[in-house]
Amino acid sequence: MKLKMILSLTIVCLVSAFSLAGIYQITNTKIEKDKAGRLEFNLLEAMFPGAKSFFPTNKPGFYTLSETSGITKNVSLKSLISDTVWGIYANDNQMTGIVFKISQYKFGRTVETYVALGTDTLIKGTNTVDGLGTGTKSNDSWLSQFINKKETDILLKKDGGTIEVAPSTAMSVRVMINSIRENINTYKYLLETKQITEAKVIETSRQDSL
Amino acid sequence: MMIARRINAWKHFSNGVTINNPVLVLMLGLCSVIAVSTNVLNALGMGIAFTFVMVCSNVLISLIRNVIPDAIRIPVFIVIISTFVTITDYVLQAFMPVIHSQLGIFLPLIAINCIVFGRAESFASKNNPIASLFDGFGIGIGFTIVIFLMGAIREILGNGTICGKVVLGKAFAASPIAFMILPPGGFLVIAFLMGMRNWLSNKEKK
Repeated sequence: MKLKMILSLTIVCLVSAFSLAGIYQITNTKIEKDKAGRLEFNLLEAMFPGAKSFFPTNKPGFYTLSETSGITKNVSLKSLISDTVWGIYANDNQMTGIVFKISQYKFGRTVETYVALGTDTLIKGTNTVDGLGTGTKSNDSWLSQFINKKETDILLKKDGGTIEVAPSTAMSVRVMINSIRENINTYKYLLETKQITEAKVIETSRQDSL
Repeated sequence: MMIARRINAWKHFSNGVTINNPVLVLMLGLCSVIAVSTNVLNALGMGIAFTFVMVCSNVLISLIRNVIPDAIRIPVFIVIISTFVTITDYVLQAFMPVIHSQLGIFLPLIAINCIVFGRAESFASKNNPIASLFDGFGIGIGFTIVIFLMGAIREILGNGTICGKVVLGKAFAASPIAFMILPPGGFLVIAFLMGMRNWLSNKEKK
C-alpha cells in the first residue's frame, strides 16, 4: 500500500512537472520579451518625460544621412554609433536626442546602464534596470551626477573630471564612463558633420515602436 | 440509455449553474469574486480562467480516481489543480498580459479556491469523467455568469461605462457612483444578486 502511494504521488508530480516545463518552454520567450519591452519603455520615458515617440535604432532608414559623408544612406544608427545604441527619440518631425545602453558583464551578472543624450550632446538622463551595485551610494544619486554633463566632464575626479568613484561597485566605473564618452564623441561628430539631420515622420505609437 | 445519459449530463450542468451555483448558493470563493468584478473584462477573464481550471481538474481527477489511494488524494488534488492554474497563468501572461496584470494575485489564488477543491472532493472523485466534465462546466459557467453580472453592474454604476464605452451619458461618466467599484459596492451587488436569486427561487416554489 505504501509503495502504491509513493508511486502514485511520484507519477502525478512527474507528469505535472513535465507539463509545466513544456508550457514554460512555449511561453517563456514571449513573456520575457514583453517584460523587457515594457521595462525599457518605462526607462526611456523616465529619461525623456516629454518624448512623443521612441524608435528602435536597429532599423535602417529612420533618418537621412549626408550623401557627402560617404556613408550609405539608410544605415541604422545602431551600426554608426556603437552596438550599444538602443533608442532614438523624436519629437514630431525633429530628432531631439538618442538613448544608448551600456552593458558590462562582471561578477556573474550583467549591469546595464541607459544614457539619454540631447542634440546639444549633454546628458539628459541616466537609468538602470537591475541596479548598479554601487555600494553604499544609491543608484539614483550616483547616476544623477551625470545629468547635464558634457563629454569633457565625463572623467573620474582623480583624472581631472567631475565623476565620483563608486565604492564596492559591481562594475568598472572607468570602463562605463569611457564608453559613455566614446558614444558622446561619435554622436557629436555625426551631428557636426550633419550626417544625422532629422528623424523621418513615422506614424506609429510608442507601443508599436517597441 | 443514451437519452438517460443526456438528461444526466444536462442535470449536472444545470445544477452547477443554478441549484449549486458556487457564488450565489454555495457562497464559496467570494473573495476573488468581489475583488475582480470591478469591470466586465476582468470578470470575463477571471470567469474563463476559472472555468478552464474547473473543467480540466474535474476531468483529470475523475479519470484517475480509482488508481489514487484515498490517503493521498488531497495532495494529488493539490498538484493537479495547481498545475492547471500555473498553465493558465503562463498562457495569460504570454498572450493576454493586460488581463493577466489586472487579475493579479487572484489568478494564482484559483489554486486554493474552495469551489475547485470542493467539487474535486465531493463530485469528481466519486463520479465518471463525463459527469465530472459537465459538473465542472456547469460550475464554471455559473461562476462566470455571476461574476460577469457583477462586473457589468459595478462598471456601469461605478464608471458609467461598459467595456470602457460610455453608456449612461458623459455627465454620469464624469461623476459616477465611485463607491460601486470599491469593496462595499461589491458586497452590495452580491447581496442584491443573492436576494434576486432567492426571490426567484421562492416564486418558483409557490
